[in-house]
Amino acid sequence: MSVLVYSLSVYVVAFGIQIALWRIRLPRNQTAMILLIFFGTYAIALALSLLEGFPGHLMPTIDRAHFTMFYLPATLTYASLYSLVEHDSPSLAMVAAAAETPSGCNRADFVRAIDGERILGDRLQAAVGNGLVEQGEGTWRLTAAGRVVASVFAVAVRLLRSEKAG
Amino acid sequence: VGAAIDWVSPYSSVLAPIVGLCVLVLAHVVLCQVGRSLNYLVAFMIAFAVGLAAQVWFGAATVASTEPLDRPARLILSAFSYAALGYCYFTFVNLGTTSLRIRILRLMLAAPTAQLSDTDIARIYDSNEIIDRRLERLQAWKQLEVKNGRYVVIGVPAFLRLYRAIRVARRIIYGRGT
Repeated sequence: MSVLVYSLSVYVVAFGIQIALWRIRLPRNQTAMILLIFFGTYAIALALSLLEGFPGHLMPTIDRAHFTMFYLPATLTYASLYSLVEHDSPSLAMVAAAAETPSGCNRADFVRAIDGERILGDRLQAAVGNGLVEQGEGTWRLTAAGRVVASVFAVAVRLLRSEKAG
Repeated sequence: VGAAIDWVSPYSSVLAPIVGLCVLVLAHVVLCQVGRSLNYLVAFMIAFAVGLAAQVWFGAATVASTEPLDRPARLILSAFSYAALGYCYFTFVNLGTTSLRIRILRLMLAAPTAQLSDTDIARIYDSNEIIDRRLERLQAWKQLEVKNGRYVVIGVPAFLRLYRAIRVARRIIYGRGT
């Protein structure tokens, strides 16, 4: 079986499993569940390709490597894109709000469209939830993990000269 | 092209997307450092094309050392892999540039004790500031325009197309009526 067809088929199967599970019950942590489904499907597909009589059995080892090189970043790409499906991006919501109103929007309309009064608090709480920030008495402090993440992005921003932030 | 480096291990062809990604990152950093007036998105698109060229060259050169059967399939899959890696890199770059959460983390890192008070954060970043930064960016990217003092959408800009595509994706993933 062509490595291209095999790889794309496994990806489609994982997507199908996700859709089926989502129709039964929406998981609480959707991104984690997507990663579990896609990586689980990958592991099973790889194991099956080693067993005689299963699809992909005749695939040479080099094609299993190609399959891996495609499947892992493709899964991360889907998980990343899924965040746009799960939560409205503020920028997209602002453009959509302006497009849906014939006379356009003013600042107050945008604040309503993206829940702008709550956005800062929501992001801080999300950072606490991710273990990047600790909340004290009226203060917010970086955790060790938060320092690592902030340092990596600080270097990237300096290298790419992309100072503007959302 | 294949004859040039066909002495390499057939497994080298698997690394073509990684080679493309390395070239992409390098080209992106160089473009952002040298072309100061270049928007980082435009710089990314140019760098992506350069990385793709490197990936195609390396893939074509090394896949020649593999069995002839399925060479085109390996090359196509390799290009898909490069696109996926490129998107992951773009997500990382975009997070560093546009994510409010990452911006707050960087502000905390720059603070003397790696912490900020509620007052500090509110002073640096109120909701007006958040909206202003986004409006500035959306206008610079031609997604919104100002007409008679109001922000309007002219035509169907890329963000609106993306928003509509996401609505279709939601219907597929969550089902009708969701």
